[in-house]
Amino acid sequence: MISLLVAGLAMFAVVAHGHVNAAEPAGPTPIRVLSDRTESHLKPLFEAFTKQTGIPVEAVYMDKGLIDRVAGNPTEADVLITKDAELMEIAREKGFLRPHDSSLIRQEIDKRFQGPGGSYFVDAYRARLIFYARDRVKPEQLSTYADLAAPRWKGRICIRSGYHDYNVALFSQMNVAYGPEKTRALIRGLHDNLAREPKGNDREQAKMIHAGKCDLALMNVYYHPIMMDNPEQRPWAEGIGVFYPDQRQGGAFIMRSAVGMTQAKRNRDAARLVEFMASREGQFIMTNLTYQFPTNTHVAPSAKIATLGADQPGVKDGRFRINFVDLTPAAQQREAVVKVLNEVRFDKP
Amino acid sequence: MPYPLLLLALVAVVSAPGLYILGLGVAQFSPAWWTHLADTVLPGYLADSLRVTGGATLVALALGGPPAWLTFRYAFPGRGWCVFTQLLPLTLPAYVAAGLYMEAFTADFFYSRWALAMELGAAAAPLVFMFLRLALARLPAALFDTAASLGHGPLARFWRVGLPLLAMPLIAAACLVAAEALGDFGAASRLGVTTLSVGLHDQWHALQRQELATMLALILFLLAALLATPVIRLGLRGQRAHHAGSLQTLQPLKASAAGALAIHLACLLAVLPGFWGPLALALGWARERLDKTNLTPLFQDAGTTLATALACVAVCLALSLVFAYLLETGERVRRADRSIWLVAVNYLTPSLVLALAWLASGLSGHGVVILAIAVKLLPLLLLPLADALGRLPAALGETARGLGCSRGQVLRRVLLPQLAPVLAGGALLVFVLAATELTLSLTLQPFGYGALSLRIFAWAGIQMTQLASVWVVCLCLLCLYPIWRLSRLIDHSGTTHA
Repeated sequence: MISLLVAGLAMFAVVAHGHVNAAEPAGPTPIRVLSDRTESHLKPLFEAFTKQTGIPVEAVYMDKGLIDRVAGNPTEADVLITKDAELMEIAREKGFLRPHDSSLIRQEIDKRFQGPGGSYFVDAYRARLIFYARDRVKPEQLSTYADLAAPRWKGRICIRSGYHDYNVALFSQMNVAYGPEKTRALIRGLHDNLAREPKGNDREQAKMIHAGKCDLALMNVYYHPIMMDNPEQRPWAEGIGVFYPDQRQGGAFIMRSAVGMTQAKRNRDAARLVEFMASREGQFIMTNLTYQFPTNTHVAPSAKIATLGADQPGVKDGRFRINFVDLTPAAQQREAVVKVLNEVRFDKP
Repeated sequence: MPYPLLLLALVAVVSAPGLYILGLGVAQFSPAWWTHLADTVLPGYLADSLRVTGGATLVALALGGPPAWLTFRYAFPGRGWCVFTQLLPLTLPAYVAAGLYMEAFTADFFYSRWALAMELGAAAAPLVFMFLRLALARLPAALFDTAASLGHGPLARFWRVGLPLLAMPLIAAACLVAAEALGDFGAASRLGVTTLSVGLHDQWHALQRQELATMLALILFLLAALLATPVIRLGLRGQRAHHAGSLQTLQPLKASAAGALAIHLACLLAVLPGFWGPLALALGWARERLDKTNLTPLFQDAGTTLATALACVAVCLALSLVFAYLLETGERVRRADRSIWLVAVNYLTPSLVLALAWLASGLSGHGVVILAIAVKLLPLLLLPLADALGRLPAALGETARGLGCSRGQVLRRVLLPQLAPVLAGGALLVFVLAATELTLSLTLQPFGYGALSLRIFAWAGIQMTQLASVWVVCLCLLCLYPIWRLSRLIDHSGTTHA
């Protein structure tokens, strides 16, 4: 017992010393990235950056609580990457970000995707679309997000939790674009048409369509090629079509991921990583790896997403009408949206 | 400084993370949000929580109770194996089992609150098993002998003597399971069941408002504390217990061949949903994937998990020994002694919210992860230790001190040998739970950190639990030896009190 205690204490001391007061390793200082994106989406980008520059990247992939972690230790990480740019906007409002004036970002990144004062930029976006069962729904039956509230879809729609970042971002943008009353009616109607309790992630909804539990789902576009690449999930994607809503109206809403630098000044190379992610090479890797749309105006989207929606009028080569809502007003709608979700008890059909 | 004050100070330091969060919960309490939630989603969250908690408790009692009785009351070939298998669900937390079942099956059941109740109950059944085995080991045989000599048959003796004596431990075990189920986040969010824990987490993260997080912690803590009260009272009674002389406990009866077979079958079925089922799925997928798996990160994650778990055990042991030293001063002050139960505040505070206290400290690193997990799990070692200390005759220490031993010598040479089984059992349990811990690690992980639970969680989050199957099997293997040692301790626990 005593020997176990001594061994454990010794291990604790070594581990604690090694990590809490870590001496800087020889060579370039690793860039520390904090992200709520999945490792599979970012690791190849970091590896390509390291190969090009020799600068290592260390990342922590959190599921939730990223803003709280930054609040507790604002200079722990050098770079933040969020799957939802609204969180980056919240980080900016709380003063966690350091503006970075980059000529590369200013010149290469679509102006709409540059954050205020160079505080961050949107590195990728994906549309939140209607996925439908090809054998049970015809694309001519689909039109707008608001149409999903129509009674004919009763019991036929699957969606993940209304409180997930993607759906809160979607409804927040709707609140700005459509107005609160129309958005409330849409959320209520969508809730009334749910086939099952909102649960699981986006791919789970595709699985449910494949299993015949529902005919439509609201999902991010890139999951279609991602599922096609996965042998276990390919059958789900093969029977599913993708429809860009609102193409004759304001356009489809998009989810944006963002990259920003923290107040940490320990690593001057952090800016190089940020600029790599904005560069043509970085954006090319990103779009062909994760099937998101690039924000660098010189980079074409991956062929696998460019072909989606091709049979839909107005959608060609991955170009579709975007209902672009500025992040700042969208982020300010979160509280109102959550209250509506609560009032309709969205996650409980 | 007087020892009782030192004890209180140490309790305050160890309980600080949980107390900080609860203090914030009170300070930041938002009546406006509370009213809104109470008018809208809170009743639904509570209803789901009650259904899941009730179901999980019944499942845990059904799966853990009968094997506890059968393996205690009967001697049969392979009894040690049965005891061992009853603890195996500890190696596969509910969030792992949930992911495996959901990946394998599309039937609605596996996405329902009933599946969650089953998975949480199956995961908590070992706690019921351990609780009851220890309680059974303390039943005095004399009471049953008296009932027998008065003409009562076996069933009547069980109903009129055994069950009343076991009522408090049964209630305490049920309440512990309920508190665990109430605080679960991983499995419930995986299945998309909006329990109180999941629902309030959703509100917190959707709004990015910390006051909702601390409100969540306050509500869950109060409910869990209410449920844990019978456990605490049972423990406090043990602390005050005075040893009443030698007690012969029930001796096992020899089971027939058919009886032994029936017991083996019952024990196998009891562990099927919580261990054999998920393990079979994991092994099947692992076998397909092993040759395609890069083993380097697997070994790194396993190494980190092992190091973290061992370090947590060391921290818990060290703290427990300090507490034991302070408790055994010969100047027992009841309030100070009872105050150690306050350390349970960390255990009862939801881990995702507890992490906020550590984030607020501004510290980071592997050491922080170890400390956070260790102080959360400390009650599992410290409280049984306090209970065992309370049951030791005061004359032991007094005699040793009368013979010239210092306090330290009394602890080391007289008391620790008596407490060794309790310390060992607690340490083994802390090891297993630290190795499988997810939430604190996920939130506090430093850069360059990897652990088996984190990898499993990452893959489960993108519907690729099959890829994590090798990691799942590795996690089980890592915990097998501690589980085996724990089962030996339980199987050999107290046939005769000295």
